[in-house]
Amino acid sequence: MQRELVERARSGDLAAFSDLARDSLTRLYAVATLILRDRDRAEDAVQDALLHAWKSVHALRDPDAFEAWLHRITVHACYRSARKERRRVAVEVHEVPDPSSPAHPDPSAWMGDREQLFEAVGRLPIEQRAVLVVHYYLDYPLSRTAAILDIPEGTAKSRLHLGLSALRRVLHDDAVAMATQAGEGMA
Amino acid sequence: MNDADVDRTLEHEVRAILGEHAPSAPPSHLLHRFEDSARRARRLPRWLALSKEPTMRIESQLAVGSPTARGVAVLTATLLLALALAAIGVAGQRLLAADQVIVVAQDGSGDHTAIADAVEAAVDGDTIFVRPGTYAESVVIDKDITLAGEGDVADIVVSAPNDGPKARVRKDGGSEAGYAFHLIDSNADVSGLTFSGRPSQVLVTGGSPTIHDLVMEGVDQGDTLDVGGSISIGGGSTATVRDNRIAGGASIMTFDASRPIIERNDLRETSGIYGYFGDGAVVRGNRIWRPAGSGIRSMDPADIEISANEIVDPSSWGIELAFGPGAEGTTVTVSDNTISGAEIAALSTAGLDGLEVTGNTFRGNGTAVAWNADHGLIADNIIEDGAAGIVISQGAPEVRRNSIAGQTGRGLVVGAATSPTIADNRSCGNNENFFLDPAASPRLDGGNYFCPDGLPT
Repeated sequence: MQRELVERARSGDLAAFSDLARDSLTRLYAVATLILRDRDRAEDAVQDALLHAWKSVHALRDPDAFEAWLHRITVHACYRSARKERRRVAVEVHEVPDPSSPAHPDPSAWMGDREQLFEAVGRLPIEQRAVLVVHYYLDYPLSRTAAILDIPEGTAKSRLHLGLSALRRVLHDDAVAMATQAGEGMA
Repeated sequence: MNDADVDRTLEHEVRAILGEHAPSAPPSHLLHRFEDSARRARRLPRWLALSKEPTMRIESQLAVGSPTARGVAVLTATLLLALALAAIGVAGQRLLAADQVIVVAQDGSGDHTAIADAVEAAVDGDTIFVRPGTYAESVVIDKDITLAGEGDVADIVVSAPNDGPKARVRKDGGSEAGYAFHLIDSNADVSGLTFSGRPSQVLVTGGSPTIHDLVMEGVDQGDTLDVGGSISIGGGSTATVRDNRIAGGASIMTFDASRPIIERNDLRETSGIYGYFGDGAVVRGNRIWRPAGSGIRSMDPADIEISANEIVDPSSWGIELAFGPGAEGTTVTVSDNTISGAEIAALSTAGLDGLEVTGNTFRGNGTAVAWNADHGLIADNIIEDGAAGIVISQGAPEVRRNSIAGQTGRGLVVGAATSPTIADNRSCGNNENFFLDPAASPRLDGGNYFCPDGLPT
């Protein structure tokens, strides 16, 4: 069914393309929101992505790859949006793992505090955040994640590792700070 | 908890929080907004979409884009960029090189000792200064440069060698002749030099150069009209020739229906200004003293302005307009000139269609106006002390407000088979103030005053 819609979209059938877009819209919007952390900008990014896809649907050679291609276009639309907001992004991003810090803090300090973790994801560089979103949220294997992000698989692995390390580091520091505060309180 | 457990837990948590924070549904208007935009958008052609879209492989299979199309596009873009950079480079080089000053000095104190070498080294926009000396050269100038003498013009002399190169002055005939400067399709500005000796003409072929403040002495191409003058303008040029002083020898000549502006030149004992003009040529404000033959002579039908010239003692005609076939629709304007002492006539015309003769002063000429044109105007002229005033031999001109006096012959003559309109003229003090051929059919509009015949005693 999807193949047929893609074929029709490639021949200029906007209704067919809209059907395809409708099926993917929830996930596209979610991806954009998770990467950009801003629903308005996410909406614009999805809009840009869909328009780009409609204009360039000729470039799609394998109809089965339609959804993955749409995800890739959406991620790149997010990158463009982020570049436009460079100043904001510049203050958003910023934890770089410190090799001297403990590699694995006590997980009991943060397990269960997902808001804190979500905040930490939001502070990652957008390229690392995109890897997390495509790999964990869209549930693509790393090889396809790399294809969607248009990067080598090794780079995808590296960004994933850096992202997770940064999360561990951030969460560890927060846990230490909380423990210190608790200790001072007891004293 | 070991490392692997921590990682698994962390990954699990990340997966969970992303799922929890992902919005459950997009805004309802998002799809409509897209559809509105899509209807207005132009889809890319397949080749462009294939070349623009980055390739994507899934399980090693090419799913999106075309490396070949993209390669071709990148190659094409690279080539275009290289071409653009090359063009910018060339333009930049020329810009950087432009507007330089080059000095020619025979004593070696400048950049070159020969004018031709300086011209060779120059590019459009450059200025060449020529210092005093005598330069025996024949120089071709095909660039838009400024070439000027630096110092007293009398001391900066260009004299073409007798055995120098020759060029054809007329496009379609004539003999070749020597030259000192030959400007070819150039918009050069040439000034402040003296040209001396028979073959040293300044020859212009095409272009729109400005030739001014030159001194030409004894530049003479002989008796053959087709080999040029002191300054010869051909090839349809729109040259401006002004403020030059030409003494002896040949004149300023025009060929090939060129449309020069020739103004404020001082010509002494030359063969005047003459040739084959094109529409729009202007001969204005020149002083032509004792020309051999005519002061100004035009031999091809064309709309020409001849105004405010002073012509003294021409050996035959002051202004001679002798058109061949094809004059229909042309109009020559002869206005505000002063012509005196013309042996035969101040203004002689033949074969013209339209002619306007206004505001001129003719004094002491053989005949003042010898009219041979189909129609036009003879008005507001002052005619004194010649042999004959206005002689109408053709057509139906309007003759208005002229003042004719002191002619030893007739003042106003209306010849056979003409039908002029005559009004508000005054003809007095001539031997015969008004002569009307019985075969003429003039219209006398009134206001004329013809005194009794006879010169005042």
